[in-house]
Amino acid sequence: MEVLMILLFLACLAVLYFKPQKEGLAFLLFWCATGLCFFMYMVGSINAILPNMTY
Amino acid sequence: MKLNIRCLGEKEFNVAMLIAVLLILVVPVGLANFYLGYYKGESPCTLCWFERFGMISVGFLGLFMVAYGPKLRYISSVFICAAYGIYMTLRHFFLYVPGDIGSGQAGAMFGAHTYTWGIFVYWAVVVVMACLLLFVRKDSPIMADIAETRNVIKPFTPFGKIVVLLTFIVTFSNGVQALFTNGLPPNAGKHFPDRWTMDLTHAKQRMQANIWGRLAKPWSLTGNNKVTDPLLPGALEPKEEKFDMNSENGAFKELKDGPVLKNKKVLPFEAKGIYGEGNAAGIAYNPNLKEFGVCNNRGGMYFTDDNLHKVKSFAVLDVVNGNDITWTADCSYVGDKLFNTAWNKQLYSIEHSAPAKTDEEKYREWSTFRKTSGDLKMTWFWDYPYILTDRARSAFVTNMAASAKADGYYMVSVPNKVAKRPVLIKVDAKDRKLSEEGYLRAAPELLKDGRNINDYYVTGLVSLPNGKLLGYSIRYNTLLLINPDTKTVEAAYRMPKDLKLAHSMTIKGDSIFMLGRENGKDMVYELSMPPLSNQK
Repeated sequence: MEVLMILLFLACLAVLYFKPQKEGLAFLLFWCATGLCFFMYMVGSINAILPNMTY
Repeated sequence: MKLNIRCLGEKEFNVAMLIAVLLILVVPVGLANFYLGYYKGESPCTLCWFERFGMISVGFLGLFMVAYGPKLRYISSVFICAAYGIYMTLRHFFLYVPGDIGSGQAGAMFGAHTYTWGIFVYWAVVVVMACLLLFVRKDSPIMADIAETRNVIKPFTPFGKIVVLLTFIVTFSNGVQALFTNGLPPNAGKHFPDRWTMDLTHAKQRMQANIWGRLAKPWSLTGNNKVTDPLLPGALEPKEEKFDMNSENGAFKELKDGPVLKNKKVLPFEAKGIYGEGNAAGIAYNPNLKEFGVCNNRGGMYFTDDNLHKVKSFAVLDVVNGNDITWTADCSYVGDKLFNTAWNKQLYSIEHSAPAKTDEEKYREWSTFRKTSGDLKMTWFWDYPYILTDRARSAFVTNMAASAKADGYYMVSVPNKVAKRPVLIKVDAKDRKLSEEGYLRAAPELLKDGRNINDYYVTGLVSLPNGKLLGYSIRYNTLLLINPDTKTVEAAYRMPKDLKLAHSMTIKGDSIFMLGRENGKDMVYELSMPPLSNQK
């Protein structure tokens, strides 16, 4: 899944640099990558959302 | 002289932003990827990857702001990413907090484990973003960008192009590391990553998609490590525990005839704690002072005459301030000091004293007690010692027994779904720290086939003159003779069926005194001493 995130980030960078007029697409790709990162972190922590030993 | 901190025009803002992008992508992300990853062969764990990608996100947002201006959507995205990054780092970091110094995963960078640096990095992101906005000139066109009333595309400067190139290199390089370490989707990182290699014969073996299995686990704020409350009669009841009171259903092949109930009575006074809450949690007898000490589970402490009839002195501790002693579990005399343990093993002690005279003494008395008869003081002021254990870290205690022979006191933790075995804990009275611990066992020849004593739930503990311990397990209503040196149960005794929620134990003369709970009232049970054939 990390590879998928990186591909989305690279696509975002490509749009940002080569097709800057497509700002919305670049931002969408950015949030797809970041959202996937956030989502995967939540999957990894789903059975204990709060930090360990803080309760 | 008027100081104008709003000094950033559009050009300065962009340069500062590009430097910030460089710093976050090259230093933490680049170092982790090139130096730790390729040079040292250290791979990130599951959570490390996402911490790292959060930093890449922040760097990308910097490029967005350079290309399109610091629009509100990008500014708010930076704060969202930083907030999430701080959460990710803290959750990750706290996995290793319970360990001793130096413990954690993989090596350290600049004196701290790599995953802990996220706390500083994401904090710095918030500070830098806020400062950059603070310093923007009011007449700068950037103000129109922030308000999103201007829509322009700004070509990258040569310096900007270098930053974009470096961003590409760092991001692509992380992709290469991710590909050979974790593989293609749905594979993802793992808890114990192994070293970096491009040799696919090894790399293929280690790619896994275990992370998705977590979706099958129940969603929880606190996780499986959260354990249920222990049994503190009258105060806390473990929801998941069922207590079989039949001694014969226990693990021991042979049960000896145990103590006989000589007398039972309602505790002659109401043992109340802070706000008038709680009930009696522990009882202890001091033959030197010829008095009983009774502690309440909400910080009340009472000292009575030799017959447990009349209260001579009392104090109610201010349990809501200072270290967490929400629930007191038991008490025992160490010398003439009444030691109390909270359910989380937090220790505090009270002793007799002359009435407070000086302003400092009066302040201490006011500061520690909500109520007092005026002739008691805390042995330690606010610095109540924590008792930290290893095996019983996730287990509560409901008992304590001072031992003159051991020059300290013992506790036996109560089992739960995480810490499944009772642990015998010994605390040194001098430095008030753990001096010994071990799982409580019983010799196999004493036990029925396939049984162990892991479900025995000790709610009362007392020390015998020979140094051995008597522990009362409310489950199976059984008295255990414990050798603390070997941490083994040497004999088990049947207890009277009349006991109701019996807990805490002390010895006076040839009697054992225990507390109980019947019809919402604190009871005192007086029992005979069992014939201790193993006592030497």
